[in-house]
Amino acid sequence: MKGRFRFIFIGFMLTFLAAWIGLVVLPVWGLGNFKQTPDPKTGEMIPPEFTALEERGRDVYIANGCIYCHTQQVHSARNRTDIVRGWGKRRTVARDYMNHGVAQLGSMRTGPDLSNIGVRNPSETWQLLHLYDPQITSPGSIMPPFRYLFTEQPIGSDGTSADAINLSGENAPREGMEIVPTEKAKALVAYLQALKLSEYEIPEAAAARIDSKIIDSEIK
Amino acid sequence: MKNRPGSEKGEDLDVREVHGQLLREKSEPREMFHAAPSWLKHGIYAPLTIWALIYLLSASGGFKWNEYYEGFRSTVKMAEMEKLNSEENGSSPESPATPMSLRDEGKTVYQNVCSACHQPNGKGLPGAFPPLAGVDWVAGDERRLALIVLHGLMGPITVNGETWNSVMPPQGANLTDREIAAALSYVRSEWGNNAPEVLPETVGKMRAEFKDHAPWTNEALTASDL
Amino acid sequence: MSTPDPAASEDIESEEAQRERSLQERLKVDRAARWPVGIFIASSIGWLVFGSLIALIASIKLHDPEFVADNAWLTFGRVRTVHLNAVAYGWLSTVAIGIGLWVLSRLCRVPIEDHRSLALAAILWNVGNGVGIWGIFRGDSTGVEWLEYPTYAAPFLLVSFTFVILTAVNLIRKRKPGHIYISQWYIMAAFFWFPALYFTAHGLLILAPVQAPAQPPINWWFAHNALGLWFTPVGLGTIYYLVPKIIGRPIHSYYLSIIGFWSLAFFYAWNGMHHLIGGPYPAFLITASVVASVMMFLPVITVAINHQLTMFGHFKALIYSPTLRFVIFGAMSYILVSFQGSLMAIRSINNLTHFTHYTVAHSHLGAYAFASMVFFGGIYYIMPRILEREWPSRWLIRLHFWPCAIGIIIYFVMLSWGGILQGIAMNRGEMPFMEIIKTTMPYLKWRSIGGTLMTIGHIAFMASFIWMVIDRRKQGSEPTLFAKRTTQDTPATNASDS
Repeated sequence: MKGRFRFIFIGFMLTFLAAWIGLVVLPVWGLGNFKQTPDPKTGEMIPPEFTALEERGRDVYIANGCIYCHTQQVHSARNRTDIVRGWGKRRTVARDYMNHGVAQLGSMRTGPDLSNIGVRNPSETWQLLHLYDPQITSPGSIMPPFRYLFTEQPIGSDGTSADAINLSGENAPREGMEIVPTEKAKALVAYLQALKLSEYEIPEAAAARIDSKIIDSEIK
Repeated sequence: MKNRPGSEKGEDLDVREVHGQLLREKSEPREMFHAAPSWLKHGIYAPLTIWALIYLLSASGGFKWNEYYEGFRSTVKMAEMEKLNSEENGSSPESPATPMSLRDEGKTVYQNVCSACHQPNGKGLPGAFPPLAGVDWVAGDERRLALIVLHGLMGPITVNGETWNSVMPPQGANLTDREIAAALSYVRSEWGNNAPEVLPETVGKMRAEFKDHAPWTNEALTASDL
Repeated sequence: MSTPDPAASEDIESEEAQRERSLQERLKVDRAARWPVGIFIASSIGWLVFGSLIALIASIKLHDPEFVADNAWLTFGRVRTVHLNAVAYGWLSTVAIGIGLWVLSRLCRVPIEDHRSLALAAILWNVGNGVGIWGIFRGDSTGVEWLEYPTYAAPFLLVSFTFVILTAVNLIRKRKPGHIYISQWYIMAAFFWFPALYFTAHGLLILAPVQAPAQPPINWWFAHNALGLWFTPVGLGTIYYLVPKIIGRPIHSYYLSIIGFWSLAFFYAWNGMHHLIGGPYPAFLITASVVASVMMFLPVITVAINHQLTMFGHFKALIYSPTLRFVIFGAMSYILVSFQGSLMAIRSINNLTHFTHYTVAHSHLGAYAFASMVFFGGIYYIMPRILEREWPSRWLIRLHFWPCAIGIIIYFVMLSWGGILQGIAMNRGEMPFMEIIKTTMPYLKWRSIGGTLMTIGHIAFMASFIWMVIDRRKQGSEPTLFAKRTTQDTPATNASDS
């Protein structure tokens, strides 16, 4: 009898339940319990945890939606190009993210991948200048300036502060003023400097490198 | 909604006058009972299902949590073999040098790592990052250059008569000897620079000699007996 | 358990009496729906206009990064997120609830009982959305894509949606005996699937987050199925209701309808992991979704055949019926976007389109050209009935349809093309990243042009809607159509409707 709604209800909740077990319960069970492992060379526990400052930096990263233009994953089939671009040494694997709190894998590469930005570009000076106005360091970039993460303040009696950023030309601050990063900008840069996703020799690293080589040879 | 004729106590009124929208409606939707066409079953449903089963079984890396490669080869097993081999032979499984020239390889390294600060044109950024084009340091002692890239540099330095005071982060942990040599070779032959290539062996020697050295300063570089 | 055979009892009634009874039923249904459904629809249009204006800001920022750059609330990462949430939850979800409940009420032939509480729920739903949007603006985003509303917005949405489910269940339980039409299946299922999705994801990603590596699978399972198990079934249910209603012809095949429903229910729920192709996940997890995504060909082809065979021979109705034109535009886009989506899930194709604007174009084809267009059609059909007046101006409807249709076509074509070029450039490792950005620039500008057109259409739509609500003169007599009907049927029985 087609008029019985009860069976339809049970049916469509069962199909849903099947997928729920497959794509929610199973990943939580299989990918939600990673533990740190010792580095084969140094014996340090890897991947390392973020410091409190770096975690605050991640909050800034999230609040300003960096994820919508920047991924944090070295793509396997794009391994060849991702690695050629210096974005990582191998594809990233699940364990790499175990200390990330809120995973920021991303889904769009309007800007470059940031998996290993802490290795690729560890210069704090550069990161701050680039955040203040990307045009300074990367002319033609379409990244928005984050000037609101900096403050202008009068230069103190003992000269320019140590953390004032060095701006010249049309970006130069007014006479007698200097531009310093806020706590948020400093935390964000600390977080970026801590991003070294594919750098650690975790148990899956060797297989991930082989995976990269196989795909490389397939493409060639 | 007050003075709407028929809208409040409308059921008894002649709905025909007020509810044009309802009246002109067609009857509630129904379904006919045409059977599904057989080409749909045999031409679409069946082949799709067969493909799905084959792909699911063949591209799932043996349904293992640590198998990321979807093909037939198991990267996990290959990694185990590699480990055994290297333990027996003590040889590193690193792939042989690429056929690219040092300078071409260096271009990529420069683009990926160095160009953010020193800029793609080697001119640096005024006030922040010194230039590399037509610079005495670049054309000078190659060992000094290798040390700067390996361990970084901080404090004031003079480049072409101008004083710079910024921090260059160390890259020794990130880049191999060959990569550093390649990048330096590229820098020394680009933008009007014309100095000889830097060999990976030179970088290797510096790395070994000054193992885990702190970031260099102008004084330390000039003082150290190279 | 023993229901009287509806066919038997209906046989006794004369045709005239039957029509009279059906008329009275629909009248009661529409009047009970006036406030709750009216509020859902009215507020959704507000969110639509807000969402499109915000989208314009985001789009302009991509080719002019200095545009309103110094305000933290208006930085790209926030306006883009506000846009997504405003249109996904403010516009699409709100209108889906409104239309879904009305269609359900019509098909169950039962008026919404507690329409006052439901109207309150509608207001609460908007409070939840407002709070969530405000939270994102001020930087409280959760950082989980598609679930950025901060936790303090969730209780409002939870309470409100509970009312919606209770209403829907009540309608189904009290339904008049008879055949359960396919739209009822889809809409009822969607009303259960969506909260199950939302609160699973919200719970495991935000309230009690699981370890980070396990988050993205749940995240993308949710994000993909917000479209697949929420907007899509309500949209399909609306198409299934409106098309036969307007052209006056039954749906071609009941069997195709149920095959379409069950295969959608079975396969769509397994989608999502294909957003992580190449990412840090084991092969089998990704493959499961690739297979499910390709298997979506099955329900889509089935539904497409069913729709097109129903429409066959009636396409001339598109000339005059605004509802039908929007709905058929949506139905055609559904076929296109689903085919495209299945193909994009195949690994080798995904390697080109992943992380590019192609994906953005694709998601707009789904959320806009399909879902939004169908819901526009639904609003054009429903509003004259629950307000008992006609749309004020056919010109405003035209000004809604054409800019939106042309706008989304520009948007889709240009951004897809730009995305392909971007993908090709990205797959050439030696190309400096700045060159890739330069490649996409012209297409990003085209996106702003398409977006401006759509925004114009939405403003015309809102103007038309407000005019309709304010101006009480235009009461029901003649529908507002694009053109005079070509076939003159007897108005009382066969006239095709707006």
